[in-house]
Parts: sequence; structure tokens; C-alpha cells
Amino acid sequence: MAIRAYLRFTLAILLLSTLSTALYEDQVGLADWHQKYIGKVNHAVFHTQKTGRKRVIVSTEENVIASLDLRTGDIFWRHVLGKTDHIDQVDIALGKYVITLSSEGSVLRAWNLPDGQMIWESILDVSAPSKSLLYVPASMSAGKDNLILVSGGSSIYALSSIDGQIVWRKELPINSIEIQQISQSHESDTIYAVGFVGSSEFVVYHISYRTGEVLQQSKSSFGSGFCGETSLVFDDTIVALDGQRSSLVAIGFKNGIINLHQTYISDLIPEFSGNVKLLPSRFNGMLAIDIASSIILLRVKGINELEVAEKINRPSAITASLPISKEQQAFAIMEHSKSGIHFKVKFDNDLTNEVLRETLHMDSQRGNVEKIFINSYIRTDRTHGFRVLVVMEDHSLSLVQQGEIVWSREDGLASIVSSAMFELPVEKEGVSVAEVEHNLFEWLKGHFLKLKGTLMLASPDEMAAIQAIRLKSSEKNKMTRDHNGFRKLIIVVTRAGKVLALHTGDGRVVWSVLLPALRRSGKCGNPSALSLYQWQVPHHHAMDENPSVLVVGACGQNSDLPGVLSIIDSYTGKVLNSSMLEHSVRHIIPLPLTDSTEQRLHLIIDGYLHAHLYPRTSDSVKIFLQEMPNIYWYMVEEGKNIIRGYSLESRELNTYDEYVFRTKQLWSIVFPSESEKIIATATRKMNEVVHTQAKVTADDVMYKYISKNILFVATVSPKAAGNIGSAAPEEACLFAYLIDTVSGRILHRVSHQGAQGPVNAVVSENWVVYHYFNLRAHRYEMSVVEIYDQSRADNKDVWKLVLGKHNLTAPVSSYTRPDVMVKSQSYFFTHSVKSISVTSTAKGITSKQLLIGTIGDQVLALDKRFLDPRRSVNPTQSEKEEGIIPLTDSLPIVPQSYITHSLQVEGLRTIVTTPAKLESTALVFCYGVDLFYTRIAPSRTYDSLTEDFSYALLLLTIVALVAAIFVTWALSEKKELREKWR
Amino acid sequence: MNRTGSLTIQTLIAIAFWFTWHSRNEQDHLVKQHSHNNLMMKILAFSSRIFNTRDPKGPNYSKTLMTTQIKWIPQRWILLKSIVMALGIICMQDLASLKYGSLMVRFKVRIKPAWPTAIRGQIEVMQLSKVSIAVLRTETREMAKGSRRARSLALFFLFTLHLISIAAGFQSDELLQDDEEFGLEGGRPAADPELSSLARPAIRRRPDLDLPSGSSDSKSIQFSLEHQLGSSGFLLAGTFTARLKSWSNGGQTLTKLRFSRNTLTEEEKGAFERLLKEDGYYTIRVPSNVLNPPGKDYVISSVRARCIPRESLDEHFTIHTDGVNILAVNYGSAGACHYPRLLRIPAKWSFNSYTVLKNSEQAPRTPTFAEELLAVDVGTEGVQPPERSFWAKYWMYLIPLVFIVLNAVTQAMNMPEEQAAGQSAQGQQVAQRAPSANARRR
Repeated sequence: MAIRAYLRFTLAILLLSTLSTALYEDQVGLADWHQKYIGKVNHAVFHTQKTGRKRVIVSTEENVIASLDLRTGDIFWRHVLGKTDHIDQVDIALGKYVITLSSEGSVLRAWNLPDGQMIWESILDVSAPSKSLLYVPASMSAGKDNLILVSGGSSIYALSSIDGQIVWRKELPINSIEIQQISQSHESDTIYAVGFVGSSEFVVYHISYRTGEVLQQSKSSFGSGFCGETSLVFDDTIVALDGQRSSLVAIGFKNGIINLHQTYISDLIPEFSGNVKLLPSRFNGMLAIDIASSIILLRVKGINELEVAEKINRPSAITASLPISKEQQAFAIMEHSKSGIHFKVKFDNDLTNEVLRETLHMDSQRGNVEKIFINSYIRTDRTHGFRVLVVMEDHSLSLVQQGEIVWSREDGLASIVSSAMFELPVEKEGVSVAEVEHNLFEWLKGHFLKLKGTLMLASPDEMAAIQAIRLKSSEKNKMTRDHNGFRKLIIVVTRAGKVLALHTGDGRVVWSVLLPALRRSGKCGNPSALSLYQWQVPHHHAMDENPSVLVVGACGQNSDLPGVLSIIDSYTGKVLNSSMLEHSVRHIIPLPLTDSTEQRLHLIIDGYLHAHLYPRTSDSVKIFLQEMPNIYWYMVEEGKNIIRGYSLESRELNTYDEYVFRTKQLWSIVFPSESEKIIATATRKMNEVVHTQAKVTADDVMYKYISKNILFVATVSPKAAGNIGSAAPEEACLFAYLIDTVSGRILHRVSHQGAQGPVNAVVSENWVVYHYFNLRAHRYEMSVVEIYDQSRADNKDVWKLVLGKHNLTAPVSSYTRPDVMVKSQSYFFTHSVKSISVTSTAKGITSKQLLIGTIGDQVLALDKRFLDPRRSVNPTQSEKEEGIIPLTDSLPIVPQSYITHSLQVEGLRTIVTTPAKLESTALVFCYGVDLFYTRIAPSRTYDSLTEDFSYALLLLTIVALVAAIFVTWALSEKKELREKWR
Repeated sequence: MNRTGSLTIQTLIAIAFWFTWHSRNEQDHLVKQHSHNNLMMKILAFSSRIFNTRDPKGPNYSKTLMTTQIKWIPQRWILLKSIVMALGIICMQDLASLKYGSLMVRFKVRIKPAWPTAIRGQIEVMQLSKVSIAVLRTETREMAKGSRRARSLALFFLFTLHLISIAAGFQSDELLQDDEEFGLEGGRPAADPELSSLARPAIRRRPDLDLPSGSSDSKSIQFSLEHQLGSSGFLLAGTFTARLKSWSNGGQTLTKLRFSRNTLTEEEKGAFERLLKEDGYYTIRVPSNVLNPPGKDYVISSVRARCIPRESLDEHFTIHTDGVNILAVNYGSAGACHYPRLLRIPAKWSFNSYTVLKNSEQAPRTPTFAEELLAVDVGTEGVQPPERSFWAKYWMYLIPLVFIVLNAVTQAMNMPEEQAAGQSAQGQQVAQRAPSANARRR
């Protein structure tokens, strides 16, 4: 044991000495930044007592539960729940616990309000996924044990809020009941559970709060059925929407007697047509319904009497009611108008008077108000003040108080769909760098401080000053291109359809635009952004134009809905072109061709497999037609387990539109559905640069099989497609394929017995690395496959190369039968992996590192050398010189090689690397719920001096040397003179 | 051929084991180590287990994997033994995996009159997809000629058994990578150099050794190849014939693929020429399931028509299968197809077809180490250098120091010359003994 520990230690030392690219503590934040987000807020709960009153608890679509500071919007604490653990409801119990119900009502957790620690967790047995309800009785008289009621399907649970123990559980006798509402009577310890059986029957249970006993049960049915939406108006009255969504049914169930009364909406609102929704809000004696054009507040005066209380025009939003006193409840309305956003607060018993009316001015790029949450506070003059939390269309979150936006958070960045890096404008003449370095004295002072720091002479105050200078060094935040290519714009598109440009220096938002094409409208019901491409990158021609970015979206998930295109100036964020396509978007292919204005050609494949060329200019068609015979594309149909390859056909048959081309199926690979199922694919990056074609080993030269058309596909046996552990090792099998996408040729097929997904893979140069689970070894594994070209293997003779008798420059055709050799090796890896990426540098000389997003939401940089199939237990001397690491069965995880150092990129989804101009350096942008950016040098910065290089020391040395030269020269002169006189 | 003995594996292994066990007690330097014996015991136990699970109904198609000649040279025994030792662990693991991988082992040893100076062994390893049968058949001529020879023979068998298990462990990977069966039809089957290079030269097929192959669970099936010339529909172009073998565990595999091409009609020739002129695609398809075509869908492959013509029309099929399912067909020219594709009209309008059937290849196992062993190795290496280096580094300082000290001592004590010399010699001895003591401690 001790020996093993010693071995580990020596190994660690060895690795540290050779590979460490870790940061020093004071280098944190110099080149990297980290931004924390929470995502679009679904629920918010304010707390009014003690310290809680400065906070708001929110839960979001990204499954985050967070506590935010009401004054600044900062995060006190937050938890990112699992991908499938959607938060259904949030509430506060006992004044100190935040209760969350998640995973369709099956997990109930309590978090400590001040610090976010989990207090307890209860797993509830919910038979079928159904509508779940969380009900925390608010004002139970003192002395009672506070119970939390949770209902899902036909069962009701009561849990103690202190420790999460189930106090009672009631399985309602009718199995198919869907409980809609739980309410509580004022007088007694009775709760009412209201539900539907089937679509037309209505059931009310009176249940004892203490024991869960059913005290009374009453039933009634309604002819035209219910659609399932209800709103609780009083404790003993609910209003439901009928099956046709055309009328409201008021149901009273006082004392076990059910009264039903139907009111047609068209009777209440004569101009009503179309769809209606009930807004989930608890008003006393009122309900809010949402018809397409406006929100209507209805007052319920009795079972038989509904009347329109107020009509609010769209776009607008309304809050739930907030009890102010025993009789009064307040609610807020936000309405858009030409002059801005009107914010009104009213009491529910007097709708004519506005308690508060304010007008706000909000950035138009934030869209409409989607949701608001109201909170009250006591002003200094002892009156009630109100503030609201506003969720906008771009998923941003703001707090509005006293007619002002106190803070806002750009939480749309938690759901980035696609990203790309863009160059900044070239520095114009007249803008000099010296502006930054105020004067020579300041500059010298700064370097003198740094010198002191390196010589360990600086006091703590001076160290702080050094750190401040470093962090402030505004060099990195300038809006111009730099020599090393570190300063760039990261342009991202979020799920809300907002495009933002972030500066790589400090991560600030340079510009943002909510794309009009991706906003909900009549034509495009549920738009979503698909991806982002470089549309125009001027370098040779059209130098004066700004580069632009193409955003492709679609109106919904369905493949026959039309797509949308937007082109945005990447310097200013101006939308240059925005259009709704006539065809759907199934697949987008950026071509390696540009037209005369440097616009990149794109092919969009629609649902009928027609290819549409963009930009639609005659120039681009001309260029495209020349290259058309050499354009191939493929499509992976994951559901059908088929991969098909296509070519394009000339448009003879399609004369009506010269930008539309027919496609022809060239090849297909059909995976037998009983034994294989596609679970992962990976391709090489389009713009990857490979520096050397050959790998020179001690006694041999191996030529890499470098093809841009390599596709990696992983399939598993269908039984093993589920979670780990769902299949026995004997029935699980993973197949890895390398496929040439031009000819559909399977270059390599390998099976891993007893292995299963999830598979994460990365393809680069001539290798692929993939990560999977080995059921036999009960561990995760990473495999590497390197593929070498044997047809060029005999070009080893130097004379052949000198005399030009080699076939290295001959064009390689995919139709030639490849003669490849494959080397592979597998290693154990401790972590499960969220995403794998590989560094890319400008010229591809620098050695590569794999960037592995671990389960702990950190990014680990692992040298590709560890994943070399040529590693052997005892490498020969020449192999050692080559840098081959002795074979180990598992891959090392060195804590210092986490590029995220101590930070966590919560909910990590994707890691993007872009080369900087400096060959040694790559820029890394990771996103998930959080954003993280850094730059890494896999082989260290061998081509530049480090930032903390002390120029002052160099200068001093030179000065001292020059002085010494003069002194010694003078001395020797003197001596010589003296000798001559002698 | 004086006498030919044929023994079953149990008896042979029993004999072999007995001999080995006893020879250890007597004189044999080959089998010294205890661990080796343990290993052999395990192998024996395992092979008998395999034998017991033999399925009498199982079909017995075999394939020669490896035919080697082993010369009887005493030095090589030691070499072989060391290989066996080194790969012992891996060997055991691979044997364990045989349960899943399945293997049929048959080897045959023919002993020449010149034995024991030269012994010719022929090892055949047969790979079946899911059956585990081991058969050992020997042809000895001098089996009863003396206990010494017989013992050596038995030892030889044991080693070959080791070798085979090793070879099987590695070979199973190799085998699947290569084409399981070749079927050549149409044109000049032997003339193609590329194809013969695909076949492993060491493989020799020995049909006479096949166990009765006419078992009922192998049947012949046919499936058709269709082609498309230009924009017309798919037309029948030829027929593949293959044998479908069913294994006792329910698996089925295709082997012995043969292909017969229909001759091109005049119409098709015209279409093909048109394709050649416009550099179009020649597309073929086969059903994805050969039992109930077209299965899920057709498997399609295309090539530029200009890649095909050489003297005649040369085509090459690589069919990737998984049981009875065809995953993909890679269709192309038999040779290279360089990019500026030139128009070439073939002299002969007939196809030369080469077909290759490919199965899946198994991934190499993740290396697992006995970490302790490694740790001990590295650990001792790690400790050694400082121990050695102290003297190695500082001897040049220490010796003069000793001299100086001795000098000083002698001068101070003002002693006679001889005594001092004696003392210094003693000191030197001590100084020189030190490193050797260190060395011994290692």
C-alpha cells in the first residue's frame, strides 16, 4: 500500500515536472473570466422575515434553484439540479426552509434559506408522471406541526416540514383521478382535494389535515367535459375551463354539495374568438384568463355570476395576488405602450384605483415582459411599497422598484445554443497604445513594482497594487485587434433568440440584439435558434465591410415548418438582413467557398431533401456550379439508424428556381435495428489545421490518414441504450465506426464487448478519442483510434523525396480504395464526461490537449500523449526520447491541469476552442449555465515572453552592464596611461 | 509411418500433466517454477471444461489460422517458456474471455524421423463464432518409443497448448479484422495481386481436416445486386450466393460469398457509356437483410463510373456484415482512382468482380496491471539511486580527505614512516570496501 502511494507520488512529481501548465494563485483572472447565470426564471418566492427579506428565491428552466440578493442581483447561493430533475414548484416553509418539488413531483427537498445547504430530501413514490402540486399551508395557527402537502396523480402525501418524514399518505380510492387543486377551509382542519376523473367527472374529497382520513367525498359530472385547467377562486369554489375551451364552469363544493354553472366566454366578452387559457394565479374572488389579444380579469360574485372586472391589452403580464392585510390583496400589471412600460399595482377589492403607477424605460432589445413577481415592503413613511421581479422575453431578469430598474441580469446566457469567435476591427491610425500607459513614469513605476514582487520584496499592500495593475491592464479589454490574436468577440445565440457579443478580455457584453425573426409571431409560432455561422469574413476583397454572422432558426421542432435567416454585423450588432424562408431547415452546410464579396456560401437542405443555396446571387451560383460535382453531404438519421450520403444534381429538372438543387442518394449504411442503435457521432472541425502529414518514429515514418470527411459513429446494442446498469455485460456491446462520408466506406469497425454509452467523442487530425462505460470493469474507459495511410508508407527513402519520386503531392481521392492501418488502445478514466473537445492552434504545430468536461463541471486538460496507442509497458530508449509515456492502465488526473482551476462551470455543455494568432496559444470558451473563458498553451508559451516578464530588470541589467563597460574602459585607460608613464 | 496414435484431449493432457509433474521432480530444468505449474493446472482445468461443454450438434467449420513450423532446438524451449511466463497473466485473461469469444483449437504434430533434433509441428486454430470445442489430434510415429521421447512430446504439447492459448488471445483480434472468407468469381481470380496480398500468406486451408461439414444448419442463400445507370431505376445486375451458418446459440453468419454478374445488355452498355461521358455515378444496392429482402432498407453504394474501367470493368465489393444483416457495401474500383478522372472506354464490356466479406473486429482489451508488481519494480528503482550515488559522487573528495586526515594525524603524532603507511593502506581498504558492501545490499 505504502509502495503504491509512493509510486503515485513519484508519478505525480514526474508529471508535475514535465507537464504542469497550472496557474499561480495570483494569475487567476488575468486571462480568464467566469460568469455565473441561472437561466430563465420560472418561479420566484419572496420572503419577508428577517434576513430573508433581502433575498428572493428563484427556480429556473435550467433546473437551477438560487437565492438572489434583492439589492444587487448577486447570487447568494445556487444549486444546479440534474438535467432531468425539472423543478416544478418552489415554496418556503417554517420561514427558514426553501422547499422544492422536482422530477414531476417525485423529489421533495428542503434547503436552508441563508446558506443553501440541503436539510432533507424525500423521494415520493409517484406512479405515473402527472401534474404535481406542492401546497405549503401558510398561516396555520401556532402549535401545529407544519405539514407540507404534495399531490401527484391519485395520491396525496403529507410531510413534516422539519425533517421531511412522511406523516401520512393517502391513496385516493379512484385510481385515475388527477388532482387539480388543494385548498384549505378557514374554519376547520380540513383540506379539500379537487380532481377530475377522466374528462368529465368532478370529485371533491374532504381530508383531515392531521391524519389524512377522507372525511367526505362528493362527485358530479359535467356533460361537455373539462380540458384540465382550473383556477381556485375561493377556498370552496373553483373555475374550470370546459373541453372545448369555449366556456367557464364555476364549481362550488361547500359542505359536500357540488354546484356547477357554465358561462360562455363569448357572453362575457363579445369580441372573443380563438384560444383561451386560464392564468395560474390565486386571487380572492377573481380569476385571470388569457385570450389571444388581452388578459381579462373576471370577478366571481357567486357560482352563477361572473363579470369582467378589467381588460388588459397585450403585450402585458400580471402577477399573482399578494396579501397585504386580512382583507386586501395586491397585484401588479405590466403593460407595454409606446411611451414605455407601465407598471401598475392595484388592490383586488378596488380595481378602479391604482395604488402605484410608474413608467419604465427598458432596452428595446429585451423584448416584452413575460412574467412578473410582486413583493411588498414597508417604506420609511410606513406605507406599503412594491417591487417586482421582471422576466423579459430574452430571459433576462430585472428588479423594478420606485420606477427604476435596480438591477438586471442577462440570464439568457445560461442557455446558449451556438457560438462563434470573431475578429475585432483592426486598430486605426491615431489610436495609439501609449494612451493606455499614461506616461513613462507610471510605466516605470508599474514595472518597478513588478520587479519588487518577483524579488519577494513587496509588502502586502504593494502586492495588492500589483494585482490591481494586472487585472486592470486595460490592454486586454480594448476594442481592437491585437498582435497575438487574444482579443476577439465571442458571438453567441441564446435559446430566446438573442444574439450577444462578448469581449474575450473581460466577458462584457459588447452588443446584444433580440432577433426580430426569432420572436414569436403569428407566422412563426414557436421559433428557435438552430446555429450560428460566419457569413462574411472580409480579408482580401471588400476590406471596408464589417464581418457578419448568419443565424439560422426554425419555426418549431417540426421539420416541415419554415426556417428563418438573419444576418448581423458582427462589429455593431445591426441586423443587416432578416428573412423568413419558404422552405424548412433540416441541415445546414457551410461550404468552403466564398463569393466576390467574401460572403461564404451555405447550403440549406430542406425537408424534401432539396438543397437551397445562399446567398442568392448569380455570382454565388456561378462559383457553386463549378464546384458542385465535388460537393457531397450526408445525414445521420438517428431514429431510423441509417446514415445516407448524397450528392447534388444539376438543376435541369428544377428550372423554376436557380438556387435550388436536387440531391441524389449515393450511399447508405443501414444498422440492423435489433443489434445496433446510433448514440453518438463526431466529425473533424472544418477549419482544423494539420501541420505534419507524417509521424516520424525512431525507425519508421507513418503517414497520417488525414481526411476532412471522416465521420465517427458509435452504436450500441438496443438493450444497452439505457442508463448504465440497465444491461448485463453479455448483452451490451458498443461498436465504433470510422466512415468516409464521400464514398460511404467503412474504414474501420471495432466492437467493444460489454461496453455501453453514453459516448462522447472527438475527432482530430487522424485520430478519434471516445469515452464510454465498460460494464465488465465497472469503470469508464477512453479509447483512442489512430488511422494511418499505408498507400504512402513506402515514401521513406530520402532520395525519393529529394528527386520527387513520391506520391505525396498526388491528390487523394475518396474513390480510391484506402489502404489504412489502425492503431488503437484503451485506458480507464475515472470521471464520467459531459463533453470532450480538443485544442486547436493556428498552424497545428503545438501538441494537442484534450479538454474534458468532467461531471464536476470542471474542464480537465489532458495531454494527447497519454492517449497514444503506441504506449508500451517498457518503452525503448528511442521511444522515450520521442516522448512516449510508459503504459498505464488508467489515465492520470492531475489536479493542476484543470484549466478551470477552482471554478465550476455549472451545467457545462460545450467546450469551444479557437486558435489565437500566437501558435502556442488556444482560446477556450466553455458554456453551460455558466460561462468560462480562458486561454491555454498546451506546450507552454514557447513563442512569447510571459506577461509578468520584468522588462525593468532587463533594462536595469543592460544599463548596469553598459555602465560597467564604461567604468572598466575608463579604468583600463587610466592604467594603460600610468604604465606608459612608468 | 510406423504407427499412428490418436488420442483425445483428456488422456493426452493427463499424460502430459503427469509427465510434467514428474519430470519436475527428476531433472527437467524446463519446469522449475511453481507458478508455472499452477498456470498449467489452470489451463488444463480450463481446457477440460471446454471439452465437457462440447455441443455434439455444433457445426464444425474450421479455418486455419496459423501454420508454423517449430524446430526442436533446446534454446528455443527456454525462449518459449519465458514467453509463456511473461504473458501468463494475459493468457489467463484471454482464456477466460474464450467463454464469450469462443474458439476451436486443433493442432496436429507430425514427427519426423530425425526427431528430436527437428520436430515439425503444425498448429491450426479454428475460429468459430460461438462454439467452444477443443480437439487435439496427434499423429505420432514414435509414440511408444521410449518414455523420454514421449515425455518431451507431452511437454511439447503443453507448450503448444500455451502458445495456442496465447495465440488465440491475440489472434482472435487479428482474425476478425481480416476477411473471414473470400469468394472470387468471374474473371481471373488468381491474377489480382492486391487481393492475394489481402490473404495472409501463412494461412493454408485444409479441407481434409474439417469435421463433417454437411451438417443441416448451414444453408445456401441468394440475394441480388441491383444497379442504377443514370436516372433510370434499379435493375438486376447479379446474384450473390453465400452460405448461412447457424450456431447453437442462435447466431447466424454469412460465409463463402460468391458472386455472379449478369452480362450487360446493349441498352445498359449505352447507358454506361453515357455515364462515363458525363462523369456520373454508377450506383448499386443490395438488401440490408439477406433472409427477408429488402429488410429494413437497401444498402446503397456509388462510385464515379469513370473509376471502374481498366482493361475490362474492374469492380471491388467490400460487404460489411453483422450476422445476416448487411451494414454497408463499399463499392469501388479494384485499384486506385486518381482525381482528374479521365474518360476511358473499356476494351471488354465484362466485369471482373472481387468480393470481400468483412466482420467486426474486437477492440483490444484495456491493459490491466498487477499494480503491486509494478510498484515494487519502480519502488526499488526509485530508492536505489541515492544509496549508490553518495559514494559514486563524492569518492574523489573522500579519498583525498582521508589522505589529508591521515597525513595530519601522522604529522601530529610524529610517528615513524612505516606505521603511518600501514595505517593509510588499511584506511584505503576500508574505503574501497564500502561501495561493494553497498552494491551487495542492492
